Amino acid sequence: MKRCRLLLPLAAILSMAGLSAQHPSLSTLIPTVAELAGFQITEAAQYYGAGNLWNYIDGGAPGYLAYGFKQAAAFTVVHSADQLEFVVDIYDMGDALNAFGIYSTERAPEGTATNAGSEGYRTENALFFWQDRYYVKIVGYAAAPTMAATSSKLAAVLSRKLPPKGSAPRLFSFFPAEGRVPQSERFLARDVLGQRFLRNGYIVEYTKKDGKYRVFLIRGANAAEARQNFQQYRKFVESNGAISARPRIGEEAFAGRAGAYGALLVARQGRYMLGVLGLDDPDAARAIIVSLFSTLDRERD
Amino acid sequence: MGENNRITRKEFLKRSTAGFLGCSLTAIPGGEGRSAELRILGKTGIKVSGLGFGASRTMEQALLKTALDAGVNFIDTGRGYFNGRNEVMIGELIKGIRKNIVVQTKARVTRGRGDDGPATSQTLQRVSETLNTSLSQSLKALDSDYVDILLLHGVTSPAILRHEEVMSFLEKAKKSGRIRACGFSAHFNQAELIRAAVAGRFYDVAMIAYNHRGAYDHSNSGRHGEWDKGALDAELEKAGKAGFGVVAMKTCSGGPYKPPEEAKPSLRAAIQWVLRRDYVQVAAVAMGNMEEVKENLQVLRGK
Repeated sequence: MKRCRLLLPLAAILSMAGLSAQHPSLSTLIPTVAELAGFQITEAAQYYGAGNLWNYIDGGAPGYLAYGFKQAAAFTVVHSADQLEFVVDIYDMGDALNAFGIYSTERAPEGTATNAGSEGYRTENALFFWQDRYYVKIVGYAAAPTMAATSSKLAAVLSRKLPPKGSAPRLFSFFPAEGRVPQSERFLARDVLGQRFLRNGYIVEYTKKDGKYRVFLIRGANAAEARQNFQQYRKFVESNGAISARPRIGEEAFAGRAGAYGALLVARQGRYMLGVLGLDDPDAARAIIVSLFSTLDRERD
Repeated sequence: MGENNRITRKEFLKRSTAGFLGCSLTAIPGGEGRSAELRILGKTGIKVSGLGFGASRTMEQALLKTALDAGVNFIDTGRGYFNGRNEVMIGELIKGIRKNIVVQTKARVTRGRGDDGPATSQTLQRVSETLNTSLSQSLKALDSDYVDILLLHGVTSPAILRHEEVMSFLEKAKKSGRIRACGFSAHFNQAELIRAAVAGRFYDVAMIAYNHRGAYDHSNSGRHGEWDKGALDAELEKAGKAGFGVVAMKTCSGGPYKPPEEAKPSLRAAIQWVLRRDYVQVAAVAMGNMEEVKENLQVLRGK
């Protein structure tokens, strides 16, 4: 009974802090003094859970929660040699798809690719990478001549503490290669294309003569869900633009235009809903979707 | 609403023609010829739509474009949203109409410890470097020479507002034309912060949590906050008289509001409740999908 009295307040404190007792392992991913060779932790890790992530990243928190955020650790290190100081954030996103998802929505295509984690890049004062279920940010105060080397060194230390590297979600490998904008792949957990009813979307950008267009793939839980998504999206286009054709692609398809989205071609087959947005060449859009369905079919076989 | 702060488009055009305000509204802001009632943000002279687009929850340009086309000209973003990609998304969209759009972004004074973390002397000594890096990156991301309003992100203590290095940085940024106005955002302790800012006569604008309930529960994050409505309203009244600009956030996070003349509560009415206060010029509402955009845009059309 005495023990219960002690445990209950502890549980309450953990709950108030928004920390989940089910994910205590993040602390084990923070390098020890020996592992941090050359770096020194100057501010110990603070931990954030779903209930208090907003304490740390404010308006950015909902975006992380949408991707199944579990826990975050934030600490500060200084590099002895050049005295560069970094704030390190490690976000546990629950699984690799979500870790890639949040990384992909924040990724700067103009960043310099690094070999950190499964995929990573550097900016003038920061380095970002994702690995397994974790998204890691290493942010310095300002640009410095040794920033690239020092941040990469720290990334390597952190990466060694994480589970083995994986690769980007496999569905992205099915998208056409021609015209593909490098580092433009994004996985959206919700509000895909700005639609409340569309979830779990894979989007890739492509270049065209006068700009860019997008190809998306949404994998429903089953064919019924995909059908419902398709019908709702068609209704949206009907009420916010116009449907111009119903081409024979997959099990159902429509072409049209909708306000700010421009030209679009959308089709469904089984649990997959595919679309091309912003490409005014209907034949090219059709070819992309037919090719993607064909690849998905082969994958299923 | 004070008549000095709010003008209709018609009246604005009339005054513009007379050279009273010295600029034209014809292009404001969307491409479909729609316009919204414009207000003046405190003493800044910046003309804003009552409904602002809170961009923190989306990277979908179509949502923002829909709002701009409907007459919204105020966009709220932050350096931290989507690692700065949110600003890039906005910058790409407003290219060519930049001068008609009011962009408000935010920079953190203390890095790495969030809203309520300790501001150590070491971090405070670096505020100028931190703020300068943040503003430079915002300008690059927005592809713009200036931001209209730069806010110190998530301020909790008046000490930050009075910090010499912070004020010096903001003053220089204003003089150099990199920012037009400065202020702070706050989820807590709004009354004390507003009082301090108005008394100090240095800051132009505050973005604060404010709604009909006097409390908010964030639907997604579970975040909760509440305030003494009477105390905050009293400070806001003084702020309004002093020409201090106020942007309200969390306007819908207090839940739907039911006006006496309407049968059902709605989020649209919750926004309108906020915009009826004399001392609030903008309700910056975070919009994550088209459904929310369409519902919120009803405010512009007075529905």
